[in-house]
Amino acid sequence: MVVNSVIFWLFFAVVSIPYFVFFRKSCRGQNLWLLLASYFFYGWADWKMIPLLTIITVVFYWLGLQIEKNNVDNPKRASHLTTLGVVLGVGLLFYFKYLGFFVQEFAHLFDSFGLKTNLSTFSIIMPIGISFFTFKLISYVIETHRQNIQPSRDFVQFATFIAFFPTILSGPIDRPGEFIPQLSQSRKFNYDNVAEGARRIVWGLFLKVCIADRLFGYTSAILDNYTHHNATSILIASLLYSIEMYTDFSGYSEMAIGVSQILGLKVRENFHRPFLSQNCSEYWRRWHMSLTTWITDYIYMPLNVRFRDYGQYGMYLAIFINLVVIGAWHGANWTFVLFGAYHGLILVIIAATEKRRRKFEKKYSLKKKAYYKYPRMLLTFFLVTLGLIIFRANNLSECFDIIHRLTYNYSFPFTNKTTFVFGLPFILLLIFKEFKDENKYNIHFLHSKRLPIRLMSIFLLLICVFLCGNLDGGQFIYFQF
Amino acid sequence: MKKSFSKILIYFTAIVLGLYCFDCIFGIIMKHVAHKNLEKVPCGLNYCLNAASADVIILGSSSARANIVPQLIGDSINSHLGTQYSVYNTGNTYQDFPYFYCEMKSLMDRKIPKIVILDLQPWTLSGPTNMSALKFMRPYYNTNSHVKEVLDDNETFLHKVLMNFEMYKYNEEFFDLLSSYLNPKTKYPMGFWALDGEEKDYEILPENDNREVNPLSKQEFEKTIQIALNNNVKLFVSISPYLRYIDRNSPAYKEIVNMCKKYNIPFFDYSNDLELVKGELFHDTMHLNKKGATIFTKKLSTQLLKSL
Repeated sequence: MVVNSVIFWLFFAVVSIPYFVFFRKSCRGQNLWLLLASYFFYGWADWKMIPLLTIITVVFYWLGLQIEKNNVDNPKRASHLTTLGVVLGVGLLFYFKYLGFFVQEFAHLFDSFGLKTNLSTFSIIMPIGISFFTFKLISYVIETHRQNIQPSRDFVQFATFIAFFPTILSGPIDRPGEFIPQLSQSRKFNYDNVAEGARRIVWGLFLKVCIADRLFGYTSAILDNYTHHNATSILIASLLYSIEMYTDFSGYSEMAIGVSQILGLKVRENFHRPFLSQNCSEYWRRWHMSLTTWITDYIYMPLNVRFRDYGQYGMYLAIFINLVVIGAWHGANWTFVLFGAYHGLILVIIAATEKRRRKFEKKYSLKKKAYYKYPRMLLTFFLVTLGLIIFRANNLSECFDIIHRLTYNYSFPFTNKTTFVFGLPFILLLIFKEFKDENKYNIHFLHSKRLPIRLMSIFLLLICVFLCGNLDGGQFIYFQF
Repeated sequence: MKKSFSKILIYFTAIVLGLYCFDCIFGIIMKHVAHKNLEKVPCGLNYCLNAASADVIILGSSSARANIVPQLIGDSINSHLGTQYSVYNTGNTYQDFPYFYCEMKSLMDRKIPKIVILDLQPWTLSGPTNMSALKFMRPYYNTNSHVKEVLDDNETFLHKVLMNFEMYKYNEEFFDLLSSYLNPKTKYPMGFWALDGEEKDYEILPENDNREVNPLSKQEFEKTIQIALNNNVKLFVSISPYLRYIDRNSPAYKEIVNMCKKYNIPFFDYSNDLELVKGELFHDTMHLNKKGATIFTKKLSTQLLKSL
């Protein structure tokens, strides 16, 4: 049941009506209803994993209470319990996401030495959304230990936070301190919330079906069969893949945020116009923000403190590790590690040259100059695209082969009518909106002060979705992570 | 809450009503466009499904459309048999068996052809059902009973409900219909779309298809053959050349060969034909250019005449 399918919207209608009609005065009733709906939603995706989700929710609920109980009386025990929570969370991720990969890698290694193993077909089925809900669980125990939050004493409330259906499959990764308090009071049917939620859903749907799914046809045709295509086609497909990735994931995030908002719950923002970044460091502050801030808070900051004796080099190392972890979070493949290392290296270079660069920018007042700003944006986009070539490749040799093929054989590219006729005008619209929002022009078509313009914008976007969008319910790229 | 609810309800109704009105008007316009397209110069799926009629029919995907020159086939057959056979190429982008079935049935309703050349891709029988092929046929759901039959068999209940909406039906395809309405494709006589350019710096890479045969595709292939045989149509199966090395041991390829043997259908395979698999004869790896199509069609005609 993907959020761009009719089934999901029927499900959402069925969930919302009792939520606002029968349970409007009872926050516990609303939470319980949301929890049931979330488990039903998760079960629809993968019912076999419901026991796992339930058990770890119970365990972390208990851990939270125990950590709080021991925080004052027995800090050492609280610390041990927190470590246990983190190890459990990371262990789950490692077991389901990485163990199969490491076993296979070792099997290959042994095989290459002539030692026969029968492990090369070893595999474990990964529960859908595990990368997202384990991060919520880990942040819950850490925040409880740091005494930034009071652990939830209401199991239903806590379980709803973990399993909340709009975000369980692909985020945004919420923080307990922001989300759980919202579950302590009943949510009313509110015009502003519904209107804003609906706007974000329509925009997200537009991004997904009119841009991402349109580009998918071209990028998959080229990049899955890159050996049959020339460098021009591969280059165009790679550039379009960056846009596809962005519109696919931000489309999902917009819809998840919109659905949550209609239900009266505010979840974290995930994107802030990443392709308008002027360097990769800024890009990572705007891209998949709920993940990057999570990793910054729980990995980068502690590492930075730990490495502070090494001065600048300690910071560079922390940055590098931070990005490698972000890369590896996406899955068990060396390409993800390389993707992280690639960005890590770029960010280290940016950090190392920052002082000199700022001095230079100040000296020539370059910061807001168009001839300085836009080429930097373009350069960042190309660097990100190169990173996504690594990210998308099935293995390292394929990734190097694609990059190698980009260096020769430029001729007339492969064209796909539906991608170019339907996709490109919408990409232009997206670029226009991104610049408009960034520079705060006064033509906010979805947020205009005039009601007819707002309604007309939604109406036109829906027509684009029905007429030009790919309505076959394409999967979201980030579901696999 | 009541105030919020009524406000939302009013706006929601306004948008839904607006969409419904747009859908109705759009449907009327598209019906007119589709009808005019049929009257104008033949091209595209609409004409093939609802109006095409000839003694010799070429059936296939975009490869068939770009690779087989109907004029040459017609000249060759007519001069050999002393007939006045008309030829039409119904090849269409992304199409495979669901379309071939609809096309065959629709042709039979209008005029039974004498000869059908079914141009297949070596991998046509492998992999899942081609949903794109179904999507492109949606606009003809109400105008072609065979399309309705195939779509009803293959699509979900939800899709059937959505077929009541014009925007859904014409999704994507409206652009082709409108553009051929505004700019009729007169340069594509008899359904043949000649392509220019040539493939430079190419590599002939192996096309290994280890996928199992899709039982549904196999069944549809057999059904298509049976329709032809039951109507005394002389059927030929061909495989066009590709700028790739085609693996003839793939399950899908073997199945095509077996099926042709089973029904005693002449089978002409030009994949891996060294005379044709050359970059200068190709527009891209999948389609021949005009020069390549001429050479290929001449070779195919010679083979055809031997089997007639």
